[in-house]
Amino acid sequence: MGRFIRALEPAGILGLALVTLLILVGLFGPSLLTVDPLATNPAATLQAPSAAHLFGTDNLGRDTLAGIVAGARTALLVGFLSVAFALVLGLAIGATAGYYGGALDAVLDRVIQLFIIIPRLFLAMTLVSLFGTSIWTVIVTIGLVSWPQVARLTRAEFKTLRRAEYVEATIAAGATTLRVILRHLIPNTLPTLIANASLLMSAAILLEAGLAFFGLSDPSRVSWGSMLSNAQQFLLVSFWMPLFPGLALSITGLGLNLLGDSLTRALSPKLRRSVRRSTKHLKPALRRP
Amino acid sequence: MIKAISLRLLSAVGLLWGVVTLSFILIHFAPGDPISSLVGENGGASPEFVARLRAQYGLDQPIISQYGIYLGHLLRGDLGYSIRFQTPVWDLFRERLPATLLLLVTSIVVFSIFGMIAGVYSATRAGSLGDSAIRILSVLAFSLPVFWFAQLLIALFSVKLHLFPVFGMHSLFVRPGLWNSVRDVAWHVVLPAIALGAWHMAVTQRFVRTSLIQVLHEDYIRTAMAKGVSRRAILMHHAMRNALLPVVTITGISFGTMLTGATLTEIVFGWPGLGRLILDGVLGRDRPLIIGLLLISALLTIVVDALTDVIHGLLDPRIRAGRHR
Repeated sequence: MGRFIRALEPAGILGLALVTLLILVGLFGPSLLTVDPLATNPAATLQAPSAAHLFGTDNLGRDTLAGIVAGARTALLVGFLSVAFALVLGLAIGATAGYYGGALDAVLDRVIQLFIIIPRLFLAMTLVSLFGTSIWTVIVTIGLVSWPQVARLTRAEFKTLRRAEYVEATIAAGATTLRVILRHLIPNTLPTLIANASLLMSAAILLEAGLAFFGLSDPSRVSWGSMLSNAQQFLLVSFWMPLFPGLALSITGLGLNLLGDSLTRALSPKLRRSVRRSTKHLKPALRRP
Repeated sequence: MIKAISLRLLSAVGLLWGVVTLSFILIHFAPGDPISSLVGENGGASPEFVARLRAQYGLDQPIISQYGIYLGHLLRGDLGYSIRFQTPVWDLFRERLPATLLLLVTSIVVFSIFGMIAGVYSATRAGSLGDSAIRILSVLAFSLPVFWFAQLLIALFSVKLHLFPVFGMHSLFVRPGLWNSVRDVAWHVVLPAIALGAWHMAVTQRFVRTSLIQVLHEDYIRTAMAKGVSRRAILMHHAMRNALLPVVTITGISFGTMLTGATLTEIVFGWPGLGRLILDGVLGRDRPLIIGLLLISALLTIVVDALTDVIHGLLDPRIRAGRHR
């Protein structure tokens, strides 16, 4: 664990801290709330931040802070489950294509391409509008539009690893296909996928917010995206309404992106070394005196 | 050459056919139908009327013949008839696409350039304070939800400072003359373009920085330095050429995200492009419009992808040489 944290660099540690904060708020926050995030209060609408309402209230008098806390759980739920779904699906399809190659690979590659050329938000909007706006539909939808990236990465890794000498040796020694895939190929692919999962999760949470902004979210749950969509009509009167949900969304995205970037760098020592080396030799030659 | 182009076209047609097929598969498994949401809005409707409407839109046919009919029409360039807007789908898109493309292209061109400048700056001063500042800003811009950034820009620059218009693409009263109306549109496009472009600038900066640092590490750069070539000449003649290729690549890759970002930005700014159309169409479960949207956005992605390959070919002597081999 210590070595893991040292490998992350300061930016990655900041990312890890922000992600931990999201997880803590998402897990425990809603049960600590004294205010119902959906309770309206006609006597206190569009209030600026005060002692009673730390982050102000919206047009229906709902407490923004309570909304942020409840929204953290939605973001966490959607982020984790949809990325898990995308990982499983993408790993299965990418592994099949990369391991077997040939005609099967050609067909699967076309399917991956098909999902990549349709913009993710449009496909997600279509799916949610057709199949309903429950939180589970949203999770499955985001998983369904996110798997191609995982599949592409896995396919590429499997193609290279498949020809590695140790894999050929394992096959020659009589290991079954399943054993080669489970014991040798997947463990070597996982680090790349895990680093990528952090970035995928940031994209998934942003996508959920985008859907909610378009009005395509579970009405029984608080989402940062729908809070922002609601704030849209009140931009002229209340600067506060969009400020806090957007900050929550940005900080979450920032944390996941920092962590993901840092993990990717930590996992590719070659890249890290080359950047360091290049800056060193650049200093005398290319930096201004 | 001709073989490469025809293979490319064939694969594009195959992908578009895939988009239509995927749409019909999804629609087949979806509950409910668009007629119920259409008549639902006008109050109660008799079953006979609903049946007549269903027949009118061909929804009484089995899904497989609907699919065949759609493909037949598509071959003749007909995208069908929007149920919600009672207008041919293609007319709806043709009307609104130019405004979206204006916003999109302005934003991509301007912020690619800014991103390149920032990327070159931070690569040549890697590890410096300026580099760190640019990288922090870049990660921030990368994480901002585009629609929230748009709202903040309006709240600050339009509502508080009155520097830019709050809404739309044209002012109500513009002095006559082409120059005046161009200036008016340009004044309206500033904030939406910034909202949309910040992400693209961040992506470009990161890409240029990484690739330029890698290029600067190559042996031929070291040789040039050993020969005593000036800093500026090394950057301009040796490094930049190779480092700029990725800018084209990244624009191609990020196009889909920029297109969806543009529709979100349009909603916030009331920009008269595809945004509102998509929102109303998708919420109204207007199936012909939804299939049209998926098809046209996939087509745009394919075209941009082909364009980036062509530009790559023009810029990269290796690809040019490979073609003649």
